Amino acid sequence: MQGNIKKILSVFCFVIMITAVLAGCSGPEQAETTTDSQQKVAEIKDELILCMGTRPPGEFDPRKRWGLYSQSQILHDTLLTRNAELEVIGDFAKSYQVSDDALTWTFHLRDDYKFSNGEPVTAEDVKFSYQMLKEDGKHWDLTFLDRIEIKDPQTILFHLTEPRSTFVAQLTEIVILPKNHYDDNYAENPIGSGPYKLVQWDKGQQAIFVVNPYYAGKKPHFKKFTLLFLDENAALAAAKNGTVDMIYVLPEFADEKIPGWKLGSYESNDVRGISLPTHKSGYGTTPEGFVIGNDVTSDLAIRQALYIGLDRQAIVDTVLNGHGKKAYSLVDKMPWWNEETVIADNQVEKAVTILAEAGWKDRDGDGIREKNGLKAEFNLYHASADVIRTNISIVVAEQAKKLGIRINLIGSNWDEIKTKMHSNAVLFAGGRHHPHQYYYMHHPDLAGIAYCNIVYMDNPTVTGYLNKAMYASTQEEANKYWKLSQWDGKTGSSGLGDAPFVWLLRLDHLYAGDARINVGKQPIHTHGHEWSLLANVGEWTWDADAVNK
Amino acid sequence: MTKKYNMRTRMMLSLTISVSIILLTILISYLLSPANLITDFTKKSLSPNLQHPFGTDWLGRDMFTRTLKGLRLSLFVGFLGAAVGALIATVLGIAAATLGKKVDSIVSWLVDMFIGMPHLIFIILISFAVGGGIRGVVFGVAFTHWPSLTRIIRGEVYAIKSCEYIQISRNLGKSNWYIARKHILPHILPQIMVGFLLLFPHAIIHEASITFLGFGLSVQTPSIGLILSEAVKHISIGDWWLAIFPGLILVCVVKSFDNIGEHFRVLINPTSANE
Repeated sequence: MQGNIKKILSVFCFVIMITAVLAGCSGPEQAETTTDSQQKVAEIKDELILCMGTRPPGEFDPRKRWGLYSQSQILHDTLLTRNAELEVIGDFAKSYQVSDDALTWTFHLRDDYKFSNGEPVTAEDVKFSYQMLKEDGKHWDLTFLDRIEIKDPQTILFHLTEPRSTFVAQLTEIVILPKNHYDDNYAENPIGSGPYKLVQWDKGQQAIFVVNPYYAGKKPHFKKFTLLFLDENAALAAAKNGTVDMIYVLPEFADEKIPGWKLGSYESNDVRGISLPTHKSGYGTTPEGFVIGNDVTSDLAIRQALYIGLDRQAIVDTVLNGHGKKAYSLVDKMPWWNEETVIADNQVEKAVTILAEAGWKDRDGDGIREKNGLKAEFNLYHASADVIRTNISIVVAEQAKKLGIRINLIGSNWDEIKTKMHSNAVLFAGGRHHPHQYYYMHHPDLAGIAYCNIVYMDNPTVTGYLNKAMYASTQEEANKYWKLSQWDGKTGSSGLGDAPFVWLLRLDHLYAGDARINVGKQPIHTHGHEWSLLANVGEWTWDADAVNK
Repeated sequence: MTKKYNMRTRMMLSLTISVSIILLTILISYLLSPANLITDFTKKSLSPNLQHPFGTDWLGRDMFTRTLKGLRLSLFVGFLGAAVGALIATVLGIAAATLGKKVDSIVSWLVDMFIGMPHLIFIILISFAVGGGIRGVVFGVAFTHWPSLTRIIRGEVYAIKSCEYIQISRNLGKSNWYIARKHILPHILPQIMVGFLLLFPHAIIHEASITFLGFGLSVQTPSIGLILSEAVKHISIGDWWLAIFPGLILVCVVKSFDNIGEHFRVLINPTSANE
């Protein structure tokens, strides 16, 4: 008894002591960091240590999605690329022409590009890269590619089976791989012709990049950069310790002040929303055998009520501390976005009316609506390792309750979500510099393949527009049809029409770093918060005079 | 310590305190409105104040409500775990001691196997096998806490079995079942009670550990383990109240149960009850 009291007391004292020690620490620590950064003012730094997530997205191999998240220009070159204004410009291809029937694309190649092992980049390498990814067929849809013809060492022709207005997307994303050195272990030692080469990769710990001596473009300022694979918390702690130069930060941590550092905030079309299966259960299974359909979300009234009933600004304020914008579609702010899809949201009354008119009424008084004995209730899967998605899910479930819809949250990992995403709602994401993702997320022909059209959207009118946009010979014509497919006044893929996705917000990509790092001109970021900033790391410079305001 | 109160009185006092801590926790958790769990961006990450004695989290939810409602889940899972554990232990313990050598060796082998492996690993395996979620946690905790109690009961039953009155009863032609029910069970009941009470804190701690690790428990479910694992993600920005208060309360409740179990053991044991 007496011993117990002593034990409890000692535990209590210990806790108080720890708290006191922690509180005492913060003062002197700050002072120390300030003097540290003052000493460094004069020096020009040419090496960086960065924390950008816990692993490299795509793991350096296009067969594992390398290139889909703006990483194509770090270790590699592509045929075409985009500048900060998102205009398509040449890279390994100096120039290109598209035939009148849009079936033949001719690229005039440069002859001065070399891989990081000194070997020249050739048309054969280009042909190999595209052919290999076409055969792999997992993450890159190149089925429309008929054959690739090397006319002469500086000219390569792509023959298509059908016109393809989004081919530019793949041309700017697919990296040119060395034909003679690509195999299953390529990711261990990726050879490319980009500004940097990977010299060391300790999985789960760090990756070290140094300048590629054979790079044909402008030599990067930073000779070397190291990526430490730390989670957001450890990264912040490392930042406060002064052991790293820049980190990617979660909105929750954005207000942390670190002396000599500044917060960089970049607009993105990195959207978050909920996917809602559009067919009733019993619709069948996907090619991989996963069940399709959900009886509740397949009801249009449920999807439309959520689209107009949720309060997007409240989600932005609660989850992102205001570091984001409301989103209405997968393609917000892009040239192919139909601005009519912007609606007034948080219209709880109107949402409730839609539900009531469709027969969803709360008859048993438990706050959840029913229709023909079916409760307005569905599961929402979210990647539990993703703090932002988890938090969005929590707020969405709360807001849906006001509409009389019960959303059960299931935190999981993508291995499981992949098997459930055709029959349950998923906290989904997207955002690209091109409309191709929009195309494959709404076209019935691609439904069920990888992350394409997981909701099994199948609206003949929308599909018609999508096909027209795809076959269009000019970008303007294509954009016209992309917009019509979202909303043509009667139907569409947006929330005004079929609402297969309820898009909620666009993140502002936040990074905190030494105020003297100049990250150049950043385009609007795409999906992939951690690495988006790195896309142009070859152009970064050190601005010795920049001071933290 | 003063000699004014004898051991028994002090023990009763400490028992009362422990019981009231637990009852109070349960009572308050029911009184608190679930509305406090609604996110609110105007109240994000507030340190403890009068309105929010435990502060608020990064989504503006009241931590006091979350903690106590989370503890309720812990208590519920703990109760189920301990009850099922005690039940399994009783059945297996009696079976091992009365149904012959073969059953005894099978039960002993099972006990050894379960004791030989860390609880947590078994809980994880079981909760995966039944599909995660609250069900997974309940099953996991319930089916892992019986082995040590089984051993004790088996030993007790063996001791009772060799008593004379059992032999007499047997000679009178009573069945095994009758003997187990009428002669053995009443004698081991105190052991079962104590065992049940002492399993409780164990089960609660394991519930917290398992929910700390995730295992498909929905983020909508208030749970102490979940709260602590989320708090870990906010330590680096100095939100100390997210971890300290829930942790302290968890320790208090677990200690209370431990206290009750220990005292109960002393009180019902005839040799120590009168000290």
